[in-house]
Amino acid sequence: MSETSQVFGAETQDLEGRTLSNTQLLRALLRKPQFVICLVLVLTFFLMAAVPRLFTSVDPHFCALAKSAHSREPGHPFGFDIQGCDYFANVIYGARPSVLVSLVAGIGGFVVAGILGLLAGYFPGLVDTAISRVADVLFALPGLIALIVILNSVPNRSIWIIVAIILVTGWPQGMRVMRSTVFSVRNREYVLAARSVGVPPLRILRKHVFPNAMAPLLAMTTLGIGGLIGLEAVLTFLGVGLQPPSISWGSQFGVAASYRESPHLFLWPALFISTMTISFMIIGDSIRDALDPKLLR
Amino acid sequence: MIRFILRRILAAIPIGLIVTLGVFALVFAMPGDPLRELAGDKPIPAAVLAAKRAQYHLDDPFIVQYLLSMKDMFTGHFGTTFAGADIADQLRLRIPVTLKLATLGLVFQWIAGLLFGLYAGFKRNGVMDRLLLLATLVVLAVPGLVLYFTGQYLFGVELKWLPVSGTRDGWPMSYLLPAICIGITGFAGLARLTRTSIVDTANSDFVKTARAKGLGEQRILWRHVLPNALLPVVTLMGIDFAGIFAGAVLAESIFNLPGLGQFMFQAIKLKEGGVVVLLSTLAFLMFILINLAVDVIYGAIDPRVRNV
Amino acid sequence: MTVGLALLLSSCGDGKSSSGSGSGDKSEIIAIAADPLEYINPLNENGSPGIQVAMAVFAPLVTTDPNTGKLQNVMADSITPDKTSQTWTVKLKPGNTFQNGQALTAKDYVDSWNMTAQGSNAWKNNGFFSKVEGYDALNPPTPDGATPKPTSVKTLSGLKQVDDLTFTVKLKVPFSQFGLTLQYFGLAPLPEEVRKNPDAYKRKPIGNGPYKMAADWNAGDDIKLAKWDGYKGPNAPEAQSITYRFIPNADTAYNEFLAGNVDFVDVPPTKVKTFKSDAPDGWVTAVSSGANYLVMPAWDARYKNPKLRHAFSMAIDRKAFADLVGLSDPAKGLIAPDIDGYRDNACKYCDYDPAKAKQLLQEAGGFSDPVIISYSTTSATGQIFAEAIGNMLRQNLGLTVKYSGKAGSDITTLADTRKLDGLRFSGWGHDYPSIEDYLTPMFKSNGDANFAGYNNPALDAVLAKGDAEPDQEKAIKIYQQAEDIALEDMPLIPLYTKSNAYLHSAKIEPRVSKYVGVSALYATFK
Repeated sequence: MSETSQVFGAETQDLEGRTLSNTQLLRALLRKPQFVICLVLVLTFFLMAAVPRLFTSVDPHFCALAKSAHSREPGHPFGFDIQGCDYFANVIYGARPSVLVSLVAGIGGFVVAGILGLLAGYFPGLVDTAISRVADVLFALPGLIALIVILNSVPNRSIWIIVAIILVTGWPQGMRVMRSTVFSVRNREYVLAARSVGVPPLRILRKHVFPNAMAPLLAMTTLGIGGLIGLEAVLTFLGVGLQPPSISWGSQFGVAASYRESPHLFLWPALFISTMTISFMIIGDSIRDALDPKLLR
Repeated sequence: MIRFILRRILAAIPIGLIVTLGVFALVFAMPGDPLRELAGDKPIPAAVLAAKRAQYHLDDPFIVQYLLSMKDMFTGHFGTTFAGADIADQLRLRIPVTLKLATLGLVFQWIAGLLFGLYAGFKRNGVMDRLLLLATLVVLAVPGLVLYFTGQYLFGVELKWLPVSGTRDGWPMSYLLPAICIGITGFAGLARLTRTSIVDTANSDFVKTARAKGLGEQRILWRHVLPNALLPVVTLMGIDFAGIFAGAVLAESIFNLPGLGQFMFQAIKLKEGGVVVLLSTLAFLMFILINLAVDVIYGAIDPRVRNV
Repeated sequence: MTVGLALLLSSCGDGKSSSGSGSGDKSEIIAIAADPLEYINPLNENGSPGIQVAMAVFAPLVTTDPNTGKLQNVMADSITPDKTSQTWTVKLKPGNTFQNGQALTAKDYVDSWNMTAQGSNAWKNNGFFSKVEGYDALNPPTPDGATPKPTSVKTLSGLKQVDDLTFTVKLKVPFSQFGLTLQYFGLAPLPEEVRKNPDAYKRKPIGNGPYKMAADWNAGDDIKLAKWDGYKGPNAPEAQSITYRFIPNADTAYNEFLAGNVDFVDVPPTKVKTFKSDAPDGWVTAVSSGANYLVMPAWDARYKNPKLRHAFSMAIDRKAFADLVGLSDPAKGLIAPDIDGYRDNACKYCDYDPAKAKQLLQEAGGFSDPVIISYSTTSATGQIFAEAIGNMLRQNLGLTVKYSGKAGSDITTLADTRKLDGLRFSGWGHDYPSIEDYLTPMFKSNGDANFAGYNNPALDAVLAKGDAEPDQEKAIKIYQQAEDIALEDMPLIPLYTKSNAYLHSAKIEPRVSKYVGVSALYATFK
């Protein structure tokens, strides 16, 4: 996340002549307890994704089918999954693909939708028409079919292919939201003023339009992060998700959907997914507030 | 305005053709042999397989299959599905079901989303704002499947307030429960976006100027904040509207409502290119109309956006 | 949540039935957890929902007596083979009619069957007639991509009407079990009116069974049936009227039952652990006819050694696996437990014994390549079952396991062309209750459902001997020898046999038979 805040920090620095250094920004953020808590949580999840061994010494692939879906017992705090493997270890090891999907697809989607929405909203006419009509096509294509077709035709379904398809088929929604906010920002006084003194369009976009128009898209993106993990669950449910021996929260969700009489199968990944999503959401809100040029007055 | 609308409709025609071709290609590329899938485990004699394949043109090259199904679509001879259902019959049966479900579901979603979002936006960090955050958390944590089954069990089986499933009780009784479920799963996103947008707008220069001019809070709210804050909100509502035809699959399946979503899902499962293209075209038409409406509404909300 | 559910429902399985059930009201609503039917035509139907409705509207030639398990005549007066079991004579009972009043004659059978045997009609039960002489003339090979033309020959040469109530069927080769096969509901005749234009009668079938259509049936409607007075067959059902309601989502159908809106429902896989407490007084179970296997590819030399196959088999904890599947029992042989000739000690290599398994694997020379398990992505549980088997092979035999999820029909196609790399699952349910209907399709070298591509002339010879043996008792003994050979070679590793569970309302008591399973159609009313 620190990288992201640097990016945004850089944006803010020369915003409307005010200066706010990265350290100042960070200090402002760290003053908010909810931001700190969520940052710690998200970092924990990242660590879990990077080095799962730190959190559990149990082999997630050691399974005894006779213990299928048993509830918790000493040494197995989350009980056992449907295969009779230790569920705690599996939930820990499941963080990696889920964090990757949410992070890469979430941030990637924000960037793609943001840039295209910015262009479409700021340059009505040819640019808007081109981008919007392509979006129409993609939006009308049933995304689920695209996923099923592509995932079935690749020999090894990897997390990257899932991310790529989400990026390609998912941007039109965010683009349309961004485009609509740019519409309203485009004609604000400060943009008109900048344009009248001959500031180049790209600079106007970067410095004046984007910071003022990105809030709704950011809200949509942070909220959507949980949805992306949910999407991976749907893929598992449809049989085109990650294949064993991959472990992910999404596929744990998909399995739990078939075995509803064992609620703990669903409870633990759900808890992790929603905690992560909420953390992202609050971090997103906090950063937005901290960066908001209007709030800084 | 009229020219703008006409231009968009004209532009939709080639896009529509690209979409149909794309959809058909996707379905064509899907793995699996529908006729074998239909037959189940039992072996099917070669002659029967060949006759079926011929009946549905499955042996023709891709482009021939595509043109044949486009011809069917434009001449209104929809034919039958692989399972033997009359497609025109199915459309007559299913379009009203989906429309009823979608409208009611969207009404719930929009009312809850807008009310929560507006209120939370005006009173940021107030009780309602926190409640919204909590509600979002719950909605995110509980997948649709669980919500739908719980709702069905509680209100249908246990309390018997509403029908468990099916359309036998007519509109609106049969549609209330699934529509409320759709509303609950979808309102959080709209509410969050509305909240953010309101907060964003409420802090902008022109609102401050208005306030400095001594305008009343109510007037500022309705005349200055709302129009500007609503653009992304209207956009998302349009996206929701367009997406609900596909998004209602789960509700239709669990509440046994014979709608278009289920039809589409079946068709995809069986690789019925013709049906998928037909339904996608319907969805595309809706989508174009909704998008057009949204772009026109932009102009109505905020006069400066006009002439897009 | 499960506990709460049980408490809430303790009164629910009983008492809350739909119509408040006065004593004279003998009507029932049966939920079918499947997509709605689009037509009713037994000859063009091989799926379970369609056959279920066909059983009410149509009547077969013969049926299995639910009490004794013996063959019992329905429309037939007698079915007799000649000395070699190659030509069979069917005599019909006089006085039966269709629901439109037309008398039921031998001509109706001969003409209906000829229509079905005509490949260009593409009716689903066409394959049944491949055993009959003259089938090939009606089903000439079609080059890939060509449209099959109606042949100039319109009739099976083996099918001959003798008089109004008698016809003969001549088979390509002797077949002692043919009489049993005639109980299949997919062989019911259509009256002449319907044969002339079957499409016009898709939604208004005219049958010869105990029930007729009671109301118009349009797309999306329930199927409403009323008792038909003209049915003279044995064991007439009790219900005066039956409604079949299609609820594609099985969990929803289950909830409709709990709410008291339907009288009979199948227990879906998601409820096998809770249905007894959900409806404490209203459940029944019965062994379902069929068995499930892990298929060893016979075309892959690496899997050829029977010792290797036995090692795989003994590394599988069938008890735990059956529990995972739910409502299932570990398989002890290759045939279903409700079939005459079933032995619960048939398989010598089906006990869970990891140490012995390891030893067998060593004797077979080990296995160093990764074992690939293919599973169907069409069902949500395919991957789970594959992983369970994979885990046991990995941990008990030290093998490397890989998984490959594909559309079900893709796996079938790959296996049919002998290109599938590794193991897969398969299941078989018999068309007629005979041990022969397991062994011939799956293990005969040219069997219809020879999943493994297995070929052993010794086994083929034993099967041929059984097919030619007119005495059923002796025939079963011979078929058991064939089962032993198949278990020794083990092209299919037996995994589990499944039971089905059903819930019923207080006013009906479904018929439960160890021979033909559970039937709501033949329920008795309280």
